[in-house]
Amino acid sequence: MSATLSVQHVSKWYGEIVAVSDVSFEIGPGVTGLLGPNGAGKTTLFKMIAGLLTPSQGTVHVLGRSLRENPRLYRKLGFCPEADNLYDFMSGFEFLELNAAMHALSDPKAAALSALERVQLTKEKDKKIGAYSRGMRQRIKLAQALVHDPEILLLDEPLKGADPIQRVLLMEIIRSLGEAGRTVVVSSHVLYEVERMAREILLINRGRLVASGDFRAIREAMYDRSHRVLLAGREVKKLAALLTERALVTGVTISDNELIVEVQSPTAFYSGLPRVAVEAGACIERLVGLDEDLESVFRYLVR
Amino acid sequence: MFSRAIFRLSVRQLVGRHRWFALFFLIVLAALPALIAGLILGFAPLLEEGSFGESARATTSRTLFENLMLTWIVPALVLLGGANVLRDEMQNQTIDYLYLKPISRLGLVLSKFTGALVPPLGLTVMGIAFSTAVLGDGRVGAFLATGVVATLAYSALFFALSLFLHRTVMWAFGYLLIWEGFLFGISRPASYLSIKRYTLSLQEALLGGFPEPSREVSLAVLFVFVVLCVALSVWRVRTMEFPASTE
Repeated sequence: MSATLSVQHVSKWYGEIVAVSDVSFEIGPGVTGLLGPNGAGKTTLFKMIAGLLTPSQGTVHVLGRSLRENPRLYRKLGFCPEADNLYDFMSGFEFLELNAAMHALSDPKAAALSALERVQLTKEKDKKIGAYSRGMRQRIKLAQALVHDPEILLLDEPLKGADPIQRVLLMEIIRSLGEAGRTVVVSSHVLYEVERMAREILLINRGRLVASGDFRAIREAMYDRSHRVLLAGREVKKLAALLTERALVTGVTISDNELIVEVQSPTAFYSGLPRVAVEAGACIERLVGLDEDLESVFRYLVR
Repeated sequence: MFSRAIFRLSVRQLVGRHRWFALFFLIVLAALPALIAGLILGFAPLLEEGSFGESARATTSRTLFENLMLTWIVPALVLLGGANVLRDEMQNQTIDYLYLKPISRLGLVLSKFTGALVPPLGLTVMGIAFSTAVLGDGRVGAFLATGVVATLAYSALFFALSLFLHRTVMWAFGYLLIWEGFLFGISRPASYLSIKRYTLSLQEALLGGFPEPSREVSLAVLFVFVVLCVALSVWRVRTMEFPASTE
């Protein structure tokens, strides 16, 4: 993976308040989720990457250079800020045309129309932004980040305030950008949304990077905590006994035709399960990993 | 370097329809010398015996220009008409949309600054043209030239000031009242550290008088002053931080 964004030992403090502390990571093309609870330091990190803040310590490089010292690099960056402040007296089209013109695009009108179409705001293009709903404002903010077709996109809470239908649309756009080879960093504190857009995550809490990488791999790596797996089917009681005997599980909860087992080593469990099921004469109809979603990863890591 | 898009944005922010009330107030302010001139012309025949002659008109015109237009109205138009245009972007957090563009910081400042100049400059020209027309003063060229230079100098000062200080209006009026209003009258050295000294000298020179300092020195000082203010603004924008307001 070639890194388009590189953050090395970055810290940011205001007097005695530490907003971000010694964070390092590298990101390449694709969608990366920046996760963390409110106040974790996500926006400060975004602003340092975007060049709106200077790190108190460490370096931030975009395509190998510092944005703050090379404003021309902004041609390759799109930023969707979290703040809901826009030029309310402008129409959506005027706002996008302005952004396209500031990027010195050859045809700002065409670029604005294309971005409007992408976020499905063509019908509302002449409406004043001040009259837009929250979800429409989110979409116009995303559109201004896309208007110049940048290589790198920083999207700070782009789904905030959008209704469920708009969320699906925005998530689809973000996912497609990643598939098209753009480097997209998207922040959220709503885990299932990030899970649907990104496989790679950066988990930040209290200004520190808690984990990074594929969230399933992170979950796998947490050997000190057991996984819970639900097994449903016939003869599951026998299966429970055998699994315990073979030390493939550390705990079992039985209810009717369902088992919830505590697994310390998922690899050993999943490779040994078919043989044990045959031996027990059990027929497994359903198998669900209860702790493999991002919510669980997040809960474990920030605890 | 210069961004026409940012320039147009600034002008629209200042003179757009959403600002109609502020604009109306500024137009009335700019027209104040003309209104006063009209009142003087209307009442003069009642108060004095004989007509309000050419010499009296010329004196009135100059007094209104020096003591009202140049001293108070031009700085007020600059301050209320545009000097805060970049500070407002910062406070509204719309600065992100300008800062994160492939535009040099000098270009950003120049585009915003020239945009901020348009409304006060237009209003100053309009105010001077009206008042001189009402009084029938033929020295409109000298007054206009001085007014334009004063607008430029005050704009540069207040624009730079707005990037360093909150409550720019308060600080700027403090400067006008205390420095240019009070100290200017009682301390000659202090007057040499004011914009008013050089704009008045320039006006004196343009009206054929013998100013101190000379026209060349006044123009040079004001030019260097504007360049310094713009340079300071560029430095400020280049080194400025935009912290997260919510986290």
